[in-house]
Amino acid sequence: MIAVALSDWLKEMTREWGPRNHAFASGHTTEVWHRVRHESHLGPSAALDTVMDALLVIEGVSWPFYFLCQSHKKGIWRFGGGTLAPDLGWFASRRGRVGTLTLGCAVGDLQKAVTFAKEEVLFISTVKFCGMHLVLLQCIKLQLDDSLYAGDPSNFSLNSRRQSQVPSYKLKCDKEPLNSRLGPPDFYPQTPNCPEETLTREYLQSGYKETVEGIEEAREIALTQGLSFSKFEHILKFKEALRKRLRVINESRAQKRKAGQAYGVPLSGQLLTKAGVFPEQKPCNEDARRRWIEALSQQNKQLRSLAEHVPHGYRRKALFEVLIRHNVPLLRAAWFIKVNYLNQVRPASTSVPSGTPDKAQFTRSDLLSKDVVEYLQQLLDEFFPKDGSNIPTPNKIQSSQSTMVVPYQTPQKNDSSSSTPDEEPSLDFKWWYMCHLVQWHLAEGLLLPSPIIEMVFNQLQEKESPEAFELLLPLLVDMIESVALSQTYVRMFMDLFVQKIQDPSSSILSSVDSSQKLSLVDAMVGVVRYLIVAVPDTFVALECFPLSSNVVPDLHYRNTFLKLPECVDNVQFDTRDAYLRYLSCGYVVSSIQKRAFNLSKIVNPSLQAHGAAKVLLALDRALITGNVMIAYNSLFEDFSDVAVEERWIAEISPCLRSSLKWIGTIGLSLICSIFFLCEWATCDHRNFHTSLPNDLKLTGRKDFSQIYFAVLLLKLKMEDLLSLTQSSDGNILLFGTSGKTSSDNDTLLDGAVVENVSVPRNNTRSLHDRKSKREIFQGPGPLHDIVVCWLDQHEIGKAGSFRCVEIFLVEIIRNGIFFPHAYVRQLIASGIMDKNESLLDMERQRRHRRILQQLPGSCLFDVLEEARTTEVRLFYEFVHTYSNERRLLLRGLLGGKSNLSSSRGDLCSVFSMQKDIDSSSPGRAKTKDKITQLKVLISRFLRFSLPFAMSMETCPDDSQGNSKRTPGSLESKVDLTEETPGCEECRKGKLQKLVDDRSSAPEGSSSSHSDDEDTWWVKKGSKSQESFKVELPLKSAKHASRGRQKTVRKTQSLAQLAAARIESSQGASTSHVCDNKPDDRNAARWKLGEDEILFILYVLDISGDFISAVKFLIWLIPKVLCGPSIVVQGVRNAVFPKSREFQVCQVGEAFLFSSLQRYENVLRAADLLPEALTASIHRSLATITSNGRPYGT
Amino acid sequence: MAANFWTSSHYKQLLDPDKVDVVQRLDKEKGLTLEEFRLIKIHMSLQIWKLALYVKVRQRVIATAITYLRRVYTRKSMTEYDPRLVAPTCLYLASKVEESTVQARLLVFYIKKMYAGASSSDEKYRFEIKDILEMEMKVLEALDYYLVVFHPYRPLLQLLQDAGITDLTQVAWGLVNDTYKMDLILIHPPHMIALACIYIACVLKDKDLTTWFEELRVDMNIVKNISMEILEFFEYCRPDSKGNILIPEDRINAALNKVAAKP
Repeated sequence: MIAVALSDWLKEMTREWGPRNHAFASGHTTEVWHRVRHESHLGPSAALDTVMDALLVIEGVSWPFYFLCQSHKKGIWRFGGGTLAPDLGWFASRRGRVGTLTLGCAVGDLQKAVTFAKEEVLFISTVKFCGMHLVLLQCIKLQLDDSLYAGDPSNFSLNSRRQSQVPSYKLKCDKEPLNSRLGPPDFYPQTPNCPEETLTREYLQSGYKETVEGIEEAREIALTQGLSFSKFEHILKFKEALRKRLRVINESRAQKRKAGQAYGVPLSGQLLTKAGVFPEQKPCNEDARRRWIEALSQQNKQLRSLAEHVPHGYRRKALFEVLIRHNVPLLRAAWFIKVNYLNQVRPASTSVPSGTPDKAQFTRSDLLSKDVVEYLQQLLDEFFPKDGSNIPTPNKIQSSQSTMVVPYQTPQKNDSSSSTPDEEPSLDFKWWYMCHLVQWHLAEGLLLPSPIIEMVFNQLQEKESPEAFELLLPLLVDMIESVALSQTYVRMFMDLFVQKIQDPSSSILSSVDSSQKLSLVDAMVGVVRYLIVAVPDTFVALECFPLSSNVVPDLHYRNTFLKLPECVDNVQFDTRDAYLRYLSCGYVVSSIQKRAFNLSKIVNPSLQAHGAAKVLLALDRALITGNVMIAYNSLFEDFSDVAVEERWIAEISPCLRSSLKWIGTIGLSLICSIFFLCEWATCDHRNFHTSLPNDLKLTGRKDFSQIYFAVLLLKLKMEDLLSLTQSSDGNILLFGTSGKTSSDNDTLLDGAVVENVSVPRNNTRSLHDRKSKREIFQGPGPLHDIVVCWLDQHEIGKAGSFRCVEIFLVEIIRNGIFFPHAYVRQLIASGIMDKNESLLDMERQRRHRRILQQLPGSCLFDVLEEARTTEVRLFYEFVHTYSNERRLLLRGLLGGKSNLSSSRGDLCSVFSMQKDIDSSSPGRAKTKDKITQLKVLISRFLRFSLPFAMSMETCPDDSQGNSKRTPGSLESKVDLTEETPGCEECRKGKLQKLVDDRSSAPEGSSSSHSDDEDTWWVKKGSKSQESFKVELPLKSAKHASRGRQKTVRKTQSLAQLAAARIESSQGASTSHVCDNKPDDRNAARWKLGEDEILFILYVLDISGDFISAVKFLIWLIPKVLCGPSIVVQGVRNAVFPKSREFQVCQVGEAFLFSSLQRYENVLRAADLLPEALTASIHRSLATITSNGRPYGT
Repeated sequence: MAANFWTSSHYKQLLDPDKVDVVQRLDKEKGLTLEEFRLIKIHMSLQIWKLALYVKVRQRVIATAITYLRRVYTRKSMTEYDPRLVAPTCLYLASKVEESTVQARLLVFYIKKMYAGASSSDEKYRFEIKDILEMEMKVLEALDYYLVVFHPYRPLLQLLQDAGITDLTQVAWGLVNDTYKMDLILIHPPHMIALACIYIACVLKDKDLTTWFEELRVDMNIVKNISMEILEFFEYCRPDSKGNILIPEDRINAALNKVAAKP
């Protein structure tokens, strides 16, 4: 069993080693034997038996025989090996210990063996081999008859099986020889006189022994060169010498290679044979010439003998004709042509230095090319005579058509008469013979392709017949590589073929049947596709796209997902392979188109300066004209320059960039477009009108409309991105979307629409419930991530004021583009705030902290409340987490000042601790006092009733939050105080204090302030700050007039919208209710007059919250008095039974609209125009209704 | 004798230089450094040499034995395979493979004779027959039964003849002998080692063989690198004025004790 299994393995090894390979003899056998023992766990002799049996299984090869013999000394196994010669009945170890020979033979031949071993047999043992027992003899001093080794096999024939001679095994080696004399290295093939295999008496008697010439056996071990290296400086010297010699060898090798010498072959013998020797042409008579040509056409006549009498007289046309007529085999014809032209243009000198172009050779090629072209032209003229008399028969076309599919078959004369050379061969035959000659000579480089290409092109143009195409296309295919190398040729043929392919009704194709037409078009399509794939670069400048769909599919490069256009269905494919090739052609074309598009963009003068100027112009213009789409398209299409983009992107901290989820999925150009937009919106260094000197403070001049406009564009982009994402993958951008929809809803005053829109929002909410809050803190969308990147690289203050950035941020937060909670989480995750490696890092950190300081928890509160994407439970958790994380980052800055624990684990407790400390600290109390005072001032100025002011004092958390709502809170607060008129003394004192505060420790106070702010909502629950400014007067007005406490709502919230709608359009019912409560003295006393409005607008101006101001004004539109002069004060008018707002709001229409006009830029940029118009329509409607239908009470 | 190195197990098992001189994990744990590891290998090669002089075997037996030793330690730790026992065992096995069998009895006898001086450290070199026979099986297993080794001696003679510098035979042969103090045989084909030795021999004897070398189809940079390695070896363990390489006994003993120490 084992034997059979082993035999396969042995076969393999034998293949490797070779059966007669003596390398097998010792070590390899031992390996085999050991392996058998190891793998089969057999005893030594059993293992040997197994090896023998295994060898036996493999038949038909002369097997070497290996054996072990057990030494008569106990327990020691000795390996020996030898070859079992098939013709001898014995084997012998080739290298035993001195004087010992081990012999084995078949038992049947024992007698013979013993007769060889005439001396004492020391040891006899048997081994089973080949089904018989072999005897192993260990003898001393064998005396053998020399004739035995002379190879006379008859005396010692073994059994018949081994008689058959088997082919001798050859060792093979694919290594290259070391040099011309030595064979491959480390390879020793079998030799007939191998000393080990040649048994001599001496070897038999004393064993084979290797000897080394020049070294005595005893010394071969002792030799060492240690002495030469006993001195350190010698070693150094030798090393240097080694290097030097290597250089010499390498240089010499390089020179030889340059000279074109074959590697490793010295320049001698054949290599020095003179080049340029060729047979001379000799003059001879017509008869001899004909006989010579006949001989040439016969394969059996040797060219060497023909070379002795190469006849003169065949030139140009005659040469080709005679070759064709005799149908000379191509190889021989080419030889004759070569000889002919060599004789015509003889080499200038016999020794042509290698590497330099041979002028004579070029002249010869030129001449041959001209002759060939001339002859081909003649043939074509015969095919298509000018007068049109000799139209080729369909028969001919048929034959030529078959050759088109398989372009070159062996030229055969198509009639039986070809055997008689005197008869004129057919035109077809002549043509195809010439085609073969051309192909042959082109391959050898003996023809110049360009004259032939030009001829083919001219003929294709000139002879617009399908037959001409069939004749000429194969020629073209032969030279297609030369065509591809020339842009001019590619253009020429593309023009021609594209026209023919796309216009199947053209003259050349109209006259033929459909199958022929198909094959012709196929051939042309094949050429076109080849050129497209072979030289796509050439096509970049060619403008031949799009090609018809049977050539290549039009896979439009702008599509991210390449789709097959429908027209592809019309194209038939025989195989899947053909279809795939067709598709890949399409991909090549689409990349060519993309390349061409990029190139044209680069060289387009209107897009120079990376399109930035153009984009800038479009943005500026759009700001004035309000044409959003032009700006949008310009921004996202014109702004593109890979180099600039890469540089810009590189400015972002790598760690931040790598930690953002979306950035990797967004194209560079989109990122940079948005960067550009952000820069445009927030930097005003470009415009000296808007960048004012630092010490000058003006209001009403700078309207931030750029920011609003930018936000508008961003919203549009978000919608685009969303629709793109939704089309591919449903809900990636959902979080970002829901925030956006809600803000969009603000502009929708129609209740039904609002409800409809809110439905999907609910759906998304349920979806989000399933999502963990972890996801909410990840980047909510690509735009958010881009803005984070922009903030990271934007150097605030260098090119624009920080205030612009603040307002921008607030706006994009409101619109659900930017999410502070995600921003904070990203800052932490990226590790950017922990890096302290360079000044640049510190600067970045400072920037991020500065931004964070202006993004208190209330911001997140707004976002979440607006987006309403989360459950209330999660909602608090988010805001809590956000506040903690924000504090973590900000505290890094304050680390020196506060000695709070820095471990992350107990942040919450630390936080609450600090809060306690803060609220009890005197500084904190001071701030609170100031705010309270400020509120008192404001309410006093607005002539609110005292109780209101007092009530505000009782809820400092609320008021504090409210007044801090605006961006740049501290500043605005100061400004507010500064500019509050009517309280000069107060103001002066306060101003001084505030300025002191600000200059002493602005960061400390503001951050601890904002820290506390993070929690105001925790205590108070949902409280809007944003709405305060807008609603402050309204609320107080309502409060005063109705005498009932109303919870403050947000303008933006749906509830607020609904309320506003109810109040504006259904004021009657409200008034009903209100009318029942005529006890509001406050209302009678407090009015919203022009002064108040001006003051409110001033406050909003200063805080930079123009949108609120505009919305406030718009909200007022339906409520103001009609006509410029009607001022009704506290009197219930029967004609104008308006709601209480009407009475409270004592502002004229003209005043309101002129106020609104101040914000016309904002109206346009923030897309508030529709709201304003709706409001004015509502107002008109209300006026008409009340005028036409008196209010019945 | 016909042979083809390129299909042999030797060729297939040639190693990358960086795989050769690597201290096994177990030895590393015992604190054996790379330098000590190298020293032990050199020392044990010399021991095999010495023993072979006693038992009178041919050079190729020594060469094969040292190759075995070096091959074993590319796979096995010195902790598991005591070098002092592995060295004579390799010689014993090599003598079988190279068909000049030396009886284990004889080996043990000569080993005892060699270390007759009997210092305490020498005691550890003494082994009985059964130790050697037992280790033989382990060594065979460690070698994965790949026993055929091609040596540079044969190509060396061939190349010297072709280059016509048979007068350098002794120098070059000596250099080939020296290469067994390194791991070159595990890394390079034999003819490259032979060429490197001829290259050095030419430098030593100041023979100009540029034309012969430049016609060889070999990468001479590799030949140079091997030559450099040989020179660097001599630079590392400077031979004494008699050309013998002496390794401080205490260093060897310290190194051997490290791996011999039972944890």
